[in-house]
Amino acid sequence: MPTPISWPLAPIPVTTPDSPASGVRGQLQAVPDFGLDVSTYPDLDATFAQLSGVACLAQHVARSLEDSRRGLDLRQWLNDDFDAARQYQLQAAVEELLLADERVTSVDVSVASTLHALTLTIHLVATTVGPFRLVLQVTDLSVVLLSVES
Amino acid sequence: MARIDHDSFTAGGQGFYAPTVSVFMLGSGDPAPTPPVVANISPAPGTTLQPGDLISFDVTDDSGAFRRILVAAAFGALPTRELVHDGDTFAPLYAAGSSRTAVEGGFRFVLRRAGGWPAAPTLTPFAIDTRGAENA
Repeated sequence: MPTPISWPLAPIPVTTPDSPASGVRGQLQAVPDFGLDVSTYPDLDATFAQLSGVACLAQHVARSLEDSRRGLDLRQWLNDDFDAARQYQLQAAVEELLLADERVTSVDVSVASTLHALTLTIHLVATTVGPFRLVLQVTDLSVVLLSVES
Repeated sequence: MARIDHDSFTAGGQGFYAPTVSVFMLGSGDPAPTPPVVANISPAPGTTLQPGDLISFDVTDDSGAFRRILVAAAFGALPTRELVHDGDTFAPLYAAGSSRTAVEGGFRFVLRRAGGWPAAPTLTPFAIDTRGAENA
């Protein structure tokens, strides 16, 4: 049996509205208060891992782009004739959707489409930190969160 | 190498064969294969991680050829285990932000888990080279 490699984990910092803006809890200031949620991306985490900070916002954004009841479903845009006007429509729809989230102050979306896939690169500026970048790849089966970079 | 000879003998009017077994140990012409090595672990084991931190390490072998490299993960006292990489692909929770890239003699793994590490991570790389040697 190969030797396992272990690391301790710092407690997940949770900010609250009455957290001091500065002072002894300075460690908390590095993590924006984007809420606390259970990880559900790409599926419900078997460990019920809790999310906070940018990861919480990133998963919310990804979910809202694959469910037309909560936003829009990017898969419905596949196999479309992506001329410049259609591409602008999609960019505008995504930007409008994401700007409706009060945690987001500005959005820049770029779209690249191939025959079978749609790739969206989304630059978000959130209220307390940012910018950070999400890359989503959309196929007829899935919306995959390729990366989150802050 | 083993050789079995037969000597016959008689007992009680019946003939028997008494086998003689000679065993010759062959010299160790082939040295034991050097097992794969896990190194360049970052952050250093024992370092306190934040949930979103990346973990990276190299798996190398003097032959540079592997039969399979698997990476398993456990998390503190949580009753779950995850197969991070099955030798071909990352599990879905690791697909975004993780990578396996070729380095001299092996691969560099950079691991990022969607949603972060749920508890203190323990990773176990299982690396088996083409001669059957496994990392310690």
